[in-house]
Amino acid sequence: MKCSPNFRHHSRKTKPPLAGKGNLNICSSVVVSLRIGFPRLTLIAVLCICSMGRSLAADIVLVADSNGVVMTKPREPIRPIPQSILLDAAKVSLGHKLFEEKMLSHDNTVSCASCHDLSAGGADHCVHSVGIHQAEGEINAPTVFNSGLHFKQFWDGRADSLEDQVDGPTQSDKEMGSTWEEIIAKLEHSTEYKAAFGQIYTNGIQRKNVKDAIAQFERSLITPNSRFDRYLRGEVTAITAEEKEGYRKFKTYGCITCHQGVDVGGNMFQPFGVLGDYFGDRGSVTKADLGRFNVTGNDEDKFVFKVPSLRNIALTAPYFHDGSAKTLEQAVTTMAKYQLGRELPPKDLEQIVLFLKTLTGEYNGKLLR
Amino acid sequence: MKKTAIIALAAALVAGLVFFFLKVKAFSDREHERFQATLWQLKHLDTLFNEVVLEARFALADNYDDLDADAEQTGRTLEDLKITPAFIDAAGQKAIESARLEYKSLLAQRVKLFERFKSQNATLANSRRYLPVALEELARRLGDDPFDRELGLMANDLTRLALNRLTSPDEAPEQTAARLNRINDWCARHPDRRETAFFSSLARHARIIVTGSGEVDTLTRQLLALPSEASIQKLSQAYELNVAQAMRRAQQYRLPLYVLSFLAVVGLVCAFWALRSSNRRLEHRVQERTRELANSEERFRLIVENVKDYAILILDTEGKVTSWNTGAEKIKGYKAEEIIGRHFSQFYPPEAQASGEPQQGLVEALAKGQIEDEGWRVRKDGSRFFANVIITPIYDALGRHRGFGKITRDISERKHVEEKLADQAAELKRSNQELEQFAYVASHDMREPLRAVTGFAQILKKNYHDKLDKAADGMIGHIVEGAKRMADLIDDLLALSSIGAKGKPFENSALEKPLAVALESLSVAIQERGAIVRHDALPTLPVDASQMALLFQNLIGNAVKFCRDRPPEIHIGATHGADGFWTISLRDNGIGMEAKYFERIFAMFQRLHTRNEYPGTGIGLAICKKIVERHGGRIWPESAPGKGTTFYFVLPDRHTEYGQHSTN
Repeated sequence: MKCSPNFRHHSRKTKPPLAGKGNLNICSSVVVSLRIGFPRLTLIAVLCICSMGRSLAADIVLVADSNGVVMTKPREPIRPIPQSILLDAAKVSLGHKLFEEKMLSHDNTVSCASCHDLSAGGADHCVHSVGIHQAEGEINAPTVFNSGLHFKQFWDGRADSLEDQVDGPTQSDKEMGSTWEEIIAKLEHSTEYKAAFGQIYTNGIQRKNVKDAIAQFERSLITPNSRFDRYLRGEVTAITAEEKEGYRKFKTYGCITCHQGVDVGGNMFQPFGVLGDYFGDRGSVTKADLGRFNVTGNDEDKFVFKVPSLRNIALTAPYFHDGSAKTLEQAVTTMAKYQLGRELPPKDLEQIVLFLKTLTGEYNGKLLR
Repeated sequence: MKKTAIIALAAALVAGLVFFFLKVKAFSDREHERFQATLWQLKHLDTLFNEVVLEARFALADNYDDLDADAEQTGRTLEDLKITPAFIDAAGQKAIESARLEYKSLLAQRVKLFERFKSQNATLANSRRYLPVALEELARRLGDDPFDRELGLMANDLTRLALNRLTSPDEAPEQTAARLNRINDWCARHPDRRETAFFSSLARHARIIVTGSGEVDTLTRQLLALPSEASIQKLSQAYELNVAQAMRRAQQYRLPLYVLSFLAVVGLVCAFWALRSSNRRLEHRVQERTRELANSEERFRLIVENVKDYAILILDTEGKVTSWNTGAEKIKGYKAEEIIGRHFSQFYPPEAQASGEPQQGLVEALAKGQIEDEGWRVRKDGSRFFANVIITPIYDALGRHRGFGKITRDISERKHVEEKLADQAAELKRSNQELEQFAYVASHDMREPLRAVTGFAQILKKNYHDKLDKAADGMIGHIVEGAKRMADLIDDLLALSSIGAKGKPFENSALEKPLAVALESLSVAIQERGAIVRHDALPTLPVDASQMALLFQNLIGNAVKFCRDRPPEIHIGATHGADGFWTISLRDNGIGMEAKYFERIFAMFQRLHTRNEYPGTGIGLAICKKIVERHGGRIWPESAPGKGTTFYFVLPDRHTEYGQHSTN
C-alpha cells in the first residue's frame, strides 16, 4: 500500500493536515452542538481559541502593536492556556460537588477541596497536607489548577490520567482513607447524588462514573488569561519590561528546557539534582524522595519527578515535592543550583521571579489570588 | 398451478438476487476506505514522530506538548484500527489484530524511551546552551587574572568538551575522559581557589554533554530502531491480503448477480407487459359492464320515475325517504326535494301516527318479508286517499338490511266503485226479496178469495146446471174454468216465489229419489199418454230434494205435454265433467222448437202456444230455471222443431259459494 503523498512530505514546520483537521472538527462540533441546542452539553465556554491546538501554530506569529503596526514575533516555547475547553457542564457541576464532598473520606472529614483549595491556588500552603485522623501526608500537595494539562498525574507520574488519579487520595490511608465500596455506599444513600448520577449516567453511581465526574471537573480548572498569556497572544504591554527581561533570562539560564509547553512544565520527568546532590545536601532521604523509582523500580528513576507546572506558581508556596522552599526566590535559587549548576545574581533572580508572577491566571474569569 | 409456479420462480429469483447482492456487497468500500485512511494516518504519525525526535535533538528550547499530543493521537488511531471491516474473515481479523497488538507494544516501548529521551535531551540541551556561555565568562575571568597555564589548558579542554558530539566525535573516548579528569583533578587539588566551584560546575556540564550526548544518541537510535514502520507494514500487508481475498470472494458472485439481474429485468418487463394487457382487457370489460349497467339502471330509473299511477319510494332503515318518483309526487303531492330525508309516517293520518302504525308496518315487513296494507293516507294538502301499500325490506348482496321499498297505489276510485256496487247489490237483493215476498204474499192471499170464487162457481154449476139457459151454463163453465186456471196460476206463482223464500238446505241425495217423486205425481198423465221414461244411473248430489222433484216434474211434464201424436219417449242421462259439474240431460221426442225461442221459454208467463193447443201457466220453465240457478247451475235446451227437445242442466258436485250464499 502506498502512503498518500499528502502525508509524506511534511515536518513539524509545515502543519500536518490531519491534526489541523482534528482541530477544525472540534470547532465545528462546538458550532453544531450550539446550533441544535444539545441540552446536556452546555458548554463551559465556547470561544475556541485556535492557539489551543496546532491549527494556527506557526513559527512566526503576526502581532499588531499599540500603534497598529504589524510586526513579527518568533514562536515561543511557552503557549497560552486555551480560554475554553469543551466539557459536559452537568458532569462538571456534579464533579465540583464531589470535589467538595467530605463523604469521599472514611470519617467524612476530608474532601478533595480540603487540600486543593481553589481559593488558595488549588493547594493548601502546607508542606504536607493533613488527612483523616490528623495523618500527615508524605509529599507536598500540588495545585489542582491546570492539572488536566499535565502529561501524567502525581509527582511520580504514577497516574496516566485524572481519572486514575482519583484512586490515589481517596484510598490513601494518610489522605481520605476510604474504599470505593464505602464511597459508593455513602453516595447511594444520598437521594441528591442518586438523582444527579441518574441524570447523567445510565448506570447510576459507579466507581467509573464518580472518577469521570471528578476528572471532568478538574479538567475545567484551567487558568487562562494570565498576563504572560496575554503577552503571548500579542498584547505587548501586558507585561513590564522587567518581566520581559525575566522571561528572557528564564530562557537563557535554561529553565525553559524543562519548564515549557502550555503548562510551563508538566510534560516530562527530570531527576531532582542534575548538577548537584540535592538530597545529600538536604539529608534524611524519605521514600517519597525516591520519586518515580517508586513506580518503575528502575535505579535510574531514583529522585526523578515530574517537572511541575509553573502556572500560578506565585500562589502555591511552599515549593518542591518536599515543600522545602518557602519562597519563590528560594525555589528559583535551588533550581538554578541543582538543576542548572548556576548561581543567579540577585538582579536576575528578582527578574525571573517577576516573570514567574506574570503566570498567574484567571479562574472563572477572576484573577487567582 | 401455473400461478404457483410463477410465484415460486419469482421468489427464487428475488432470493437469489438478494443472496448474490449481499455477497457482492459484503465488500464495503466505505469500511475499506475508513480502515485504509486510519492506516495511512498511523503511518503518517509514525513517520512524523521519528522526524520530530530527530529534530528535537538539535532544538535548544522547544516544547514537548506537540510530541505528547502526537503520541496520544497515535494511541487513539491505533484504537480506531481495532474495528476491522466486517468483510474480513475471522482468521484475517486475528492476523490484523496480532499485528496491531505488536505495534501497540512497540508504541508502549516508544513512550517509555521517549520519556527518558525528553529528560535526557532537556538536560543535554541545557548544558549545551550553558557551556559556551560559561566559557565566555571564563575567558573574561581569565583576562582579569594573571595568566595561569593550567587554567588555560582547562579552558581549552572545556571548549573541546563543549564541541564534543556537536559534530561526529573526533576524539577517542579516552582523550575525552582525560580532559574531564584533568579538570576534576585540578578542582580536587585546589579546593580553596575561588574558581574551583565554577570549574567543578562546568565539569559537570561537560560530563553531561559527554555522557548525555551518548545517551541521547542511544535513545534516539533506539527510538528510531523500533521496528514500528515494519510493524505497520505488517499490519498493512495483513489487511491488504485480506482485502484482496474479500474482493475476490465478492467478485465470484458478481457474474451470477448480473445474470440474475438480467433475468429479473426480463421477467419484470414480461410481467409488466402481461399485466398491462390484462389490465386493458379488464378495463374494457369493466367499461362495457358499466355501460350496460348504466343503461339498465337508466332504463329502470326512467321506468320507476315515470310510473305515474304508483308511488314508488325507497326508505332507509329508519323509515326516512331516500328516493321519490313521479307517481309518488302525483299521488302524495310532495316534490322530491320536499320529502327526501323526512320520515314516511307523515303520509299517515295523525291517529295512525299516534298508534305507531307506520313503525309497526316496518317491523312487520322485516319480520314477514313483505306486508300489504290498505288504508287511509294523507296528501300534502291534508286531503285523504285510500291507498294500497306494499312494503318490502331491501337487503344488499351481503344480506345487510339497507332499507325498505314502498309501493303505494291510490285505490280511492276502486273503493268507491266497489262500495257503490255493494250498495246496488244489497239494494237489488232487498228489492228482489221484497218482490218475492210480495209475490208469495200476493199469491198466498189471493188463494182465499179465489177459493171462494171457485167454490161458489162450482156450487153454482152443480146446483144451477141446466136450470138456467144455455148461455148461462156456458158462462158458469167459463167462470169455473177461469177460476181453476187462476188457482193453477197462483199455485205456480207460489211455487216460483217460494223457491227463493222457502228453500230447504242442500243435502246429499241420489237424484233417483226426486225423479221417482216426480214420476209418481205425473203417473196419471204418463199413463194417459203412454209415455215411456228411461233414465241412466243418476249421481248423488247436494241438492234440495223437493225442488229437484219439482224440476223433474216440470221438465218431464212438459215432455209428456208437448208430444206429437205418438207416445212420448223420455230419456234422462247424466255425465260428469272434468270441471266438477254434473250435466243432466232430459231428451224427449216431442214437438221441438226453434232456436230463437231458447231464451224466451224461461221467461215468466211466456208461452209459445195457445192455451187451447197446450194447457199451462207459462211459469214451469221459469221455476226450473230458478231452481237450477239456486243450485249454482244453469239450464239450457237443444232443440229443433219436430226433432224433439233435450234440456240440459248442470249441477255442481259440491256446495258452491253461491249455493251456500243463497241458502242463507
